[in-house]
This record gives sequence, C-alpha cells and structure tokens, in this order.
Amino acid sequence: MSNVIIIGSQWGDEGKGKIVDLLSQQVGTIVRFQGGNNAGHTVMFGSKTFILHLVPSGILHEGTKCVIGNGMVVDVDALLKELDELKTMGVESEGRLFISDAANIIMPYHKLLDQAREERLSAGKIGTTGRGIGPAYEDKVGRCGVRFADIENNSVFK
Amino acid sequence: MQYVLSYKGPLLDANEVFENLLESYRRISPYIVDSSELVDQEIKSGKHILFEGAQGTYLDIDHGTYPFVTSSNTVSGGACTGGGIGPTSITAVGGVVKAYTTRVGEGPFPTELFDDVGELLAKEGNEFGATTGRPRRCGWFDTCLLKKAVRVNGLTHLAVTKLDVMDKLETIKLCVAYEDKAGNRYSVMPSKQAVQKELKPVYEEIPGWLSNSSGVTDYDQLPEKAKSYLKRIEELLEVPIFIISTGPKREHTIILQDIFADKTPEGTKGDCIQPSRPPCHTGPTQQQ
Repeated sequence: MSNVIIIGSQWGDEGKGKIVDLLSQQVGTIVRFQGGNNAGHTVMFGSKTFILHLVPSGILHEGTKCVIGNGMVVDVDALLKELDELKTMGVESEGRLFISDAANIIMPYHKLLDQAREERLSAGKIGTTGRGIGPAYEDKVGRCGVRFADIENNSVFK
Repeated sequence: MQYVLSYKGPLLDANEVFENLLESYRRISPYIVDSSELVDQEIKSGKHILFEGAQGTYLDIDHGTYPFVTSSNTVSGGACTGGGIGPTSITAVGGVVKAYTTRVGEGPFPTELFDDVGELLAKEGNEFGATTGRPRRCGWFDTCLLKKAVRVNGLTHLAVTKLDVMDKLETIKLCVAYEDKAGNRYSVMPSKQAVQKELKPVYEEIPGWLSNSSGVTDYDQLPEKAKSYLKRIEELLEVPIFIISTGPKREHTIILQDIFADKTPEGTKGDCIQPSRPPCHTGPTQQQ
C-alpha cells in the first residue's frame, strides 16, 4: 500500500494534472495539500477539456475519493462553481469529495486586498493570480483566519 | 498598514460578508470532515493514496525564488503538514518536470530564451497559463534547478513531460552550472536575490533528434537521440524516470515504472502498470 506524493519540480505548469490523472486510476484517494484555486490542472478526457482549479482532478474517476486538505485555503464560491460545473458534466461529487474542517477560508476581503496590492505594485509584481490566496495565508499565519470548523461561530469575526 | 491606506476599493459590511458566507457554507457543509482522520483510515484500508501538489518547487515559500513565490509549501513536505499525515507514511515522491523549462510571471530564470528557440518552445508547447492565460517564459532544461528539487523533495522518481515539443530542435542545451558576473560558479541556484538576477547558464550541448516523438507510447519507438537526452538527465540528477509524456492526451504516455509498486512487490490489485525496463541511469549510458 503506497502513499505517493506528486509535485512540480520547476516553476509550475509541468503537466502534473496529466500525470496525476494517469496515476489516479490506481488509487483510492487523492489529496490536495496546499494552495487554493490558483492551480490550473488541464485534463483531457476524450474530446472534453477540463480545467480544475480547486477540486482534485481525481474527481473525474468514478470511485476515487478526493480530499481538500487542511493546508489549503478555500474560496467557497469558487468551490461551489466548480462543483456545479462538474455536475453539468455528469460528475457527482457528494460522498466522494471531502474538505478538511481545519482548512482556512478565502474571504471576500482577501480577494480585494490581493487585487489592490497587485495594482499598487505596477513594477516588480510578484505575479499573483489575484484570488486572495496570499492574504488568506497571511491571516492563517497571523492567527486571524477563519476555518471551516469555526464558521458557524460568528464570534471569530470579531 | 500601507495596504490599508492605499486601498481604494469598496467597503465591506461585516454582517453581510458573514451572512453570504454562511449561506454558501450550508451547501458545502456535507463535505466537511476531519480529513487527516479520513486519510489515515484510507491508508489503513490498504488503498493507494496520492498527494497532489500544485504550483512547483521554485514557487515554494521557503525553497523557491523568493519573493517571486506562492504563499505555501509546494514541496513534498507540504503533503505531510497540509495533508495531515506523518512523513514515515510516504513511500515515494515523484517530481514532474518539463523536458525544457517555463515560468509564468516575474522572477529569476537563468536559462530563459529570448530568441526563436524560445518562441518555438512557446508555440509548439502551447505555453499559456491554464489559470490566467498569461504567456509563459520558456528556456532550456536546467539541471541546477532540478538538483535542488531532488534534494528538497527527496525525489525518488521523475516524470518528464512535453518531450515532443522539442522534436524540431537541431541542438538542445542542458544547463549544468551557473556563473555570476564575477565568474563564480554555482551548481545550484544560490539564495541571494541579487546574485540570482545576474546568473548566466553554462550549457552542455546535445544534438536534437529532429524526428517525431509525438504520441509515442513505447520507449523503444523513441528516437535514439531523445533517449540519450533523457538518459543524460537521469545521469545528472541520479533519479530514474518513471513516466515520459509525449503529447497532451492521456494515451500519449510511456510508462516505465510503477511508482506504487516500489514498496509493495506483492498484494497489489493486479491492474498495476508493469515496469517495462529498469531505470535508464542504471543501464549503459550514451555519453556525449
């Protein structure tokens, strides 16, 4: 029983999506462990092209469980959109997709901050995707993030 | 504080933000679990688990070309902290690597090409970001980058992708060292930003194969010079290649080793991919 990590060895875009897609035929569970919806895994299956930003590409394999790990930051609306898209393509996620209760949430203000900063730094841009990933991680490290486990407890906002 | 002062966007109402979030959350609440526990159960149930990294090693917050990095640990260690399992559970680490190099956005990139070869790689490789649509910068394969990637990730396997993109190149270059302006040599990317910016690559030249590798599914059908190129990469990095990708489709793939089989010689389901040959670098090498 093997537990294998697949990572990119350069600056991203190495084609991990395809490799993971190939290997996912052999596995029971696929776990994403960092980042958010700034990934972009292009998967071709038949004549269809899928770009998955958040949900592990293993969701396309029936019977494979997919996990959004605690190390990720999650944009809830982007997640819902992706789940809806998958549904229209005939992929059912419920019972197969699991989201860590310890994952931090990307809040609307994280996205606004990200975009505002990028505009401000016209020269020497870091080159972010403007999706609030960086600010969400900052709040996580700054211990003022919001985790799924605490979301119904309004006091975490105060 | 400077960010707050410079921020000119709309003000958000805290209650509204919370209510909206709660509404969306109710739709996804059936998916929320203690995922560390779930993964542990899956491991104990005897199934293979795959930890899928995003971005790449040189975008890692600790090991990347800081500050042009992402805000998380993209290296294999991140799978343990971010997936909620201990390092002793990991059986193999596969590094995916293009047969050349690309980068999106700013930051140092010593082997970047600004000539027609760079254009050819961008065109043949369709090098535009999947998330942002931004054109990617293209350059030669950089073993100095990869050596550190092997070290910080503990790579046990390599998957080489987009080999076919290089089919039309007469000469192929492999970066084997860097040199700074003062003539100092480096075998891996140094940490100093000021030095990273001025690094010039030192290349080893290899003849291109100038024939078709696109869509090849059998290692023996690859052009001999393409095999030599791959062998040289294995030799320099001392890590075996387990997959070669020769095109965008799932079937455009050469599978050389089963990454799941390494520590499970028996007891697998029987539908595993069988290794078709030993790792390249243990076989006879074709020296340039």
